[in-house]
Amino acid sequence: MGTVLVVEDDRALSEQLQGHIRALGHEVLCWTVGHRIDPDMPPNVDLVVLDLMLPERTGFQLLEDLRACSDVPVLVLSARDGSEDKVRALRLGADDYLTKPFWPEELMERVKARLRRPVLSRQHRVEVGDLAVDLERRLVWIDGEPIHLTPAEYGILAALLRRPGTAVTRRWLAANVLDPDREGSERTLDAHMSRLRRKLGKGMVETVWGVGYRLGGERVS
Amino acid sequence: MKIRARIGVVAALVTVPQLIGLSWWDSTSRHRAAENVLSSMLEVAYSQPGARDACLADPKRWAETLVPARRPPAGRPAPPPGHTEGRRPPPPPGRVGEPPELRAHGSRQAVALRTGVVDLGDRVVGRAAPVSTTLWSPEVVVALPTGWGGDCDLLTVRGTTVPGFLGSVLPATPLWVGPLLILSTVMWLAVGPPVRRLRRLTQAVRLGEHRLAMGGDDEIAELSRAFQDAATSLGEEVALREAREASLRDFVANTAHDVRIPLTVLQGYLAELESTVDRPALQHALREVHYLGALVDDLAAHARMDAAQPHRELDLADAVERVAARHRPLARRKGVDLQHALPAESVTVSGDVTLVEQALSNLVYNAIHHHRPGGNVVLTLDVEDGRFEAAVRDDGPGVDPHELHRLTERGFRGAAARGRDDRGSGLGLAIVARVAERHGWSFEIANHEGGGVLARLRGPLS
Repeated sequence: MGTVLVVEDDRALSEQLQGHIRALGHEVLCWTVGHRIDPDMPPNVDLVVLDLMLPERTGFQLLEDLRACSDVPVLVLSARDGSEDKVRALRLGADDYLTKPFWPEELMERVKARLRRPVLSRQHRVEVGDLAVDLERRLVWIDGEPIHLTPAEYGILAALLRRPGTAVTRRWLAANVLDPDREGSERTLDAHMSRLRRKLGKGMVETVWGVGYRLGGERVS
Repeated sequence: MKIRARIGVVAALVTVPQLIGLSWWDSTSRHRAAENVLSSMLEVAYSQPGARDACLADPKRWAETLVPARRPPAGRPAPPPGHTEGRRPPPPPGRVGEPPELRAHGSRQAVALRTGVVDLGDRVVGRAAPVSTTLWSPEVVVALPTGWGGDCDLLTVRGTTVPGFLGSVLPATPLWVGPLLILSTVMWLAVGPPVRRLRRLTQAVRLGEHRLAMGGDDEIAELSRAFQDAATSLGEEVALREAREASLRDFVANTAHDVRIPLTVLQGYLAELESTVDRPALQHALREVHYLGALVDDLAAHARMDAAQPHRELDLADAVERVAARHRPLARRKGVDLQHALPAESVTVSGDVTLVEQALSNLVYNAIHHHRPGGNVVLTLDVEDGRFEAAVRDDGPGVDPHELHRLTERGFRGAAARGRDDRGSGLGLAIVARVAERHGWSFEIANHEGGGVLARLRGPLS
């Protein structure tokens, strides 16, 4: 598993954060003040959980330092209401933010999502549980065995892969993946989905009550 | 009616009757004076010794001996000898420098005037009296029945009221007309500058200019100073109120900020306890602490709403994902299945990300909070024809149709919320409605035909 740097000045909250992240199986480094980051030696971590209001160097300055030398994902913790702060953090290169107060589960879900998503954006080959997809060559494997998908089935799978764990609406899939002149209805989507499920195996594609589909279940978590 | 036009009309209403009245008086005076002069002339001629014989002998010459001969009009040849006065049309009266015209007539029955023939049958012999003419005619005729018979039974003299005529008696020009016209013109011109000042003041007030006071000591200057005083006092009041509101907003924002950190820690401890203690009291405590968090968010959003915030581009799909993740722990504890579905691409809109997330959070929080265990809540985001639709749907009992239209009122809580131990500020949906309004989006909440409540926010993509 990875290493997560937690930068939080509130001691009680910092300890809780460390506990939750360790519970996910990651190693944790902890800063309680904003340190200057040496561009030649960026922290060797997989994710940074960063509070914005810090003594010494603010979260914004730290983010700037970090982005000058590293593209490690950064999850900002914000207790501020100001949209400006959130927007500024995102512009400075933060990947996501979490507004206080939050539940431990919420934090853990965001940490998991952040550690998973950059892999999708940077690589042509994506692995989600038993499923492996080569996005460049449009090839799909299940448990190492290549399987053949029609263009519509591949389009549906590629759409679901962009946000694993999050459902894509039926309306969007019907309008954007299927050919609207020939088969662009939600009814034909059911037929494609049913064939895709058969090919991928049970539990890979979940139906979300009445609205869409997602890559989900135990096989991808 | 504008002041200038009103003054013009009043001036006209005052001046015109005066002009008419004075003209009548002037004309009457001229006629009377001319009549008196001509009457005297006629009576003197009548009473001269030997007048009767001289007249009967040669009426025309006798008349010319009394009054100098009438000159022919300039540029016109003199009448040929033998041309009788009776056949010549009466000369236009009022020619300057001409004498009155004295004539002897053979009959006193009638005399021809320019305005018609007047019967003189009952006039007293030897007494000169005017023959009636209209006031607007400058012609004045005086007649005297002589009782001499023959061609001298009636003497007439014809004159005019026109100034310069030998027989006229009034001043040469109507001097009184001048002052009246001058007065009217001066009034008209004098009204101009004040009206311009009034216009300028009106425009300054309408444009909300800070400097309203005008120089001078007239009523308009006083009015402008009164406006200036009122504007200054109003400005001070507004500034004071804005400062108070800003201070209150800052206080709420700072308090919300300070409360959020201990709340996060408290949630963390309670969640930790949850894994070791299985007590209903803990579940209540967890729900309360989540409610506290939602309340703090609502208060902060409410305070934020009043301060103008710039809109920026934001990814609504990310916002929906954050809101779903935020409420999943609450849903799990309540036994409600919360799911969300998005387009597979970014959904960029222009807005205030904090307010947008708060609006979506309130919809999801309401759906979970008023639901039964085992229920479903779905948050979806869809895009079609350049517009997005963010919808929250549940399969709960729905809302009393009579209460639907009041749900977005600030402080209103439906019967379902009041009846149970659920608590709420009544701010939630009011905030959603205001956020939608501020962003120019539509917000609808209704019972879904398939059961439950469907709340939808719709607006354009940026």
